[in-house]
Amino acid sequence: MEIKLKIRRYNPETGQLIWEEASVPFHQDLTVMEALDYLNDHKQKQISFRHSCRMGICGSCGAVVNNEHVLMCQTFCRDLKQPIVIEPIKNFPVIKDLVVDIKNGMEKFRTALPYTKIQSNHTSEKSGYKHLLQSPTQRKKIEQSSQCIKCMLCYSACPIFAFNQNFIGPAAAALADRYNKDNRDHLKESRFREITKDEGIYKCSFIGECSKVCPKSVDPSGTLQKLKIAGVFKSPRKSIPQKNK
Amino acid sequence: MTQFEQKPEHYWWTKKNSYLIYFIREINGIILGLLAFLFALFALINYYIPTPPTLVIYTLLIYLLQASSIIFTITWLIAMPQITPFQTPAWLKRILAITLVIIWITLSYLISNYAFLYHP
Repeated sequence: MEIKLKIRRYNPETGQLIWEEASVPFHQDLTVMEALDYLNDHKQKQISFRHSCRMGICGSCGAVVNNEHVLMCQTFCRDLKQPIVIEPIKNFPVIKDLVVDIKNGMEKFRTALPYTKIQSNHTSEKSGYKHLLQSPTQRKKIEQSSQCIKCMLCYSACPIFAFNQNFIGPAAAALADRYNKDNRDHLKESRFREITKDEGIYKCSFIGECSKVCPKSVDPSGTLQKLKIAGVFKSPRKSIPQKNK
Repeated sequence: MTQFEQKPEHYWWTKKNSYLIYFIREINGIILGLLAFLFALFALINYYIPTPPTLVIYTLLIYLLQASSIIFTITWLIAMPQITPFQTPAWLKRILAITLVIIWITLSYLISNYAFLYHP
């Protein structure tokens, strides 16, 4: 038994965009990524697509399969209608076939200041190093948002980002929230200033698709709304320019 | 070597249920404003020069306005539990949404019966 695939391909040398149909032998555990691998290995299709870990950790095999934003390594062909339509993730320029340029998304992460600035006077007696401890309760606060694997599926599913490429986007906001909730961090004020700028969190219209497509259940949509509420109490006083006396 | 720019599709809001719900929710705000204006206009017309067609339109507008308000309220009441300050599982969010709708219906009933329609 064979399954039919319909793949959107792009040739950067000719600028040609085509739909290619192919068939692959079916078995119960066949994932979409394995089906593409089969085409490359046995039919010399030379389809370009990013992949690495094959177990939903690296987040590099994101694609739009049958109009759903998914990781190809975690999507089984047995659950899909035929022909299985495979497209690159949306809202990013396509480099070749299913490979997209995610530079813009990565730049958004940078604006969220995704690192902790530790100010600690507590010195370990044994090692002599300065450190801050984190209790299990404090860790639990950042557990959900720490799961983000930067697969860009939320950016792909976000219509706001589709129309406004300057919008900070769901994952960057979730990342900012993750570091804001971190008890060891001392950059909350700067981070809030960054994410509440003109193209920041207030551009979100609460569509909620980003949370639905997230393979790690990070819930960027809910996080964005909570940040909006928190931002109302924090950012305006900072952002209003002071008049010179 | 050129990259292919992916632009949003024309009817993007028809592609997924969540996009469609969002689109209806947002456009309903505009429709609600427009209906409220027409409602006030026809109320004024009926007060001075009542005719059968204007009365029919007026009655129709009452129902449309009500339907539009209900859609607007329900969509937002369903959206509200998504942003609780604590981590909530999906089943609890659904219960919260249903509770909010029940509270809204009860309050609407009490207000309409005992505040506006009560004539001693």
